[in-house]
Amino acid sequence: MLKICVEKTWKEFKLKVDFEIPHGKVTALFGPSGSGKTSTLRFISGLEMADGGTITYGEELWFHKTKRINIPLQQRSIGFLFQDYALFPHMTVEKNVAYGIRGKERLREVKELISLVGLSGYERYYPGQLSGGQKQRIALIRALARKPKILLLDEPLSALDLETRLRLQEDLKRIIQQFHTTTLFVTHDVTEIYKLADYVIVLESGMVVKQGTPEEIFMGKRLSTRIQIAGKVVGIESDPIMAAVTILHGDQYFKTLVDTEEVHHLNLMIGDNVVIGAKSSDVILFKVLTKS
Amino acid sequence: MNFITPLLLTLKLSFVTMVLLFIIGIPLAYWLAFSTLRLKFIVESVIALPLVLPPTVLGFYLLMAIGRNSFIGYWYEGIFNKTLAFSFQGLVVGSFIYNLPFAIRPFQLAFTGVDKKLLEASWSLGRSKLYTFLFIIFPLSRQGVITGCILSFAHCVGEFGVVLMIGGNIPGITRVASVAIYDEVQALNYGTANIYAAILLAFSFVILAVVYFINRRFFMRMF
Repeated sequence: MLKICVEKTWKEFKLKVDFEIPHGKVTALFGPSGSGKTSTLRFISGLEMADGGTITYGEELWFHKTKRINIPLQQRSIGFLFQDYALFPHMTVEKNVAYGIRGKERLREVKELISLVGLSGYERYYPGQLSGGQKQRIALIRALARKPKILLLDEPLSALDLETRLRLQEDLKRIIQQFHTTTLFVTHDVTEIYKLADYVIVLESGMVVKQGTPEEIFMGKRLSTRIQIAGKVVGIESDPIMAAVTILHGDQYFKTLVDTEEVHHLNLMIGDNVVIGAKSSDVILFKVLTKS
Repeated sequence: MNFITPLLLTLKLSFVTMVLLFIIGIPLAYWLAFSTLRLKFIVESVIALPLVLPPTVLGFYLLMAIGRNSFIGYWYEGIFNKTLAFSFQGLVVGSFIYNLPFAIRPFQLAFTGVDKKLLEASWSLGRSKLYTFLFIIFPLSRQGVITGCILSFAHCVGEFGVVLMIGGNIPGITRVASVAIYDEVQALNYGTANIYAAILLAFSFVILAVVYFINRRFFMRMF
């Protein structure tokens, strides 16, 4: 269990967060850009130091301002995946993955890890010769190679095109499950949360405004439904009684009929994030609630 | 006096200076590149001084600093039983200081040019700052380090004022090629002076061509 309770003040922004990350689960840190997600991640990793507060992992004290404790990041058992991957350009794929591993077995381990993400045969390639998706997968296993207790991902899929992103969501899920690593990832994509996260922490203007399971967060107290598909509204055609709402999920479009009154009530607009919930008979549309 | 001696002395002085600049300059440049100390600019200014000072000014102060009556000169004479001024060792001290900016600046620029994310990635993979420097920063700064070494070597070959001030013109000990040219012209031996000058000109051109060539390849790989 990782507990973080820190604050930091910049010139025009104040961050004050206090939350726990459940052990062995995948937690999403969600919020608009500029809400403090990445900074929070950097405090946990030790890349940046907060003005005050504490960070503890189980019994280990990683950061305690008043006790003047700040364990260097090399000694915090973390894996960090950077937004633009930060692969070492002068090292081969093999050397990159091996970078954090110590011991005699490292070459065998590296081979296994590379095959785990389906990139066997690319050992001698340089990062510059790989596609975005391949780089991302190499960066992921490089971060996991040290067997960290906590994996931190900073918008892991944001730099990729849609098709690659969808494929990698699956890969990411499979690999994280295989390693059983407690994971915290920063995102502003609801679809990604539905796909990957067990738990969500919502940040706004430097504060935690909500936390819970994805269903609790994005659908309020409404009934749980069988099928849930998160997507983005791309079209609304309404007449006085019914409205046809077109929703983009990945590269698929869904069209669903909703009461026009409901559309007004939700103040539904093009660009909104929504979740389609469906049981055997009725289809319900939820607007994703990000504000508290 | 042998014609070749001043040239060999020049090469020896430049080589020793370059090696010293590499050994001491790399850690110093690292500190300048990554220190967050506010007063860093003062150190940077001191190192850059030889760029703007007349070599005679620098030479004069160095002479005062290492001469017989100074603390350093006295101490040196006590240990080695000879003066530091007007010796090869004294020339090395002068060349070292005079060439500091030509080595430090390219080193420092190359180090700061390495993407900060790569350093953070290395630390997050459990590697120390020293390990990160040896395996990430240094290899990625290769061009800058080579450029700094070559430039300081070449500039040392072309040095005149400082050498003359603190080394004088002692054949075989402090009489380097650039001083020899001056000496030959004074003695109206234009022919010999011309040969020395032509050699230094050709040498300097080749060195600069190499530096530009290295950096051209560097930029081509970047874009």
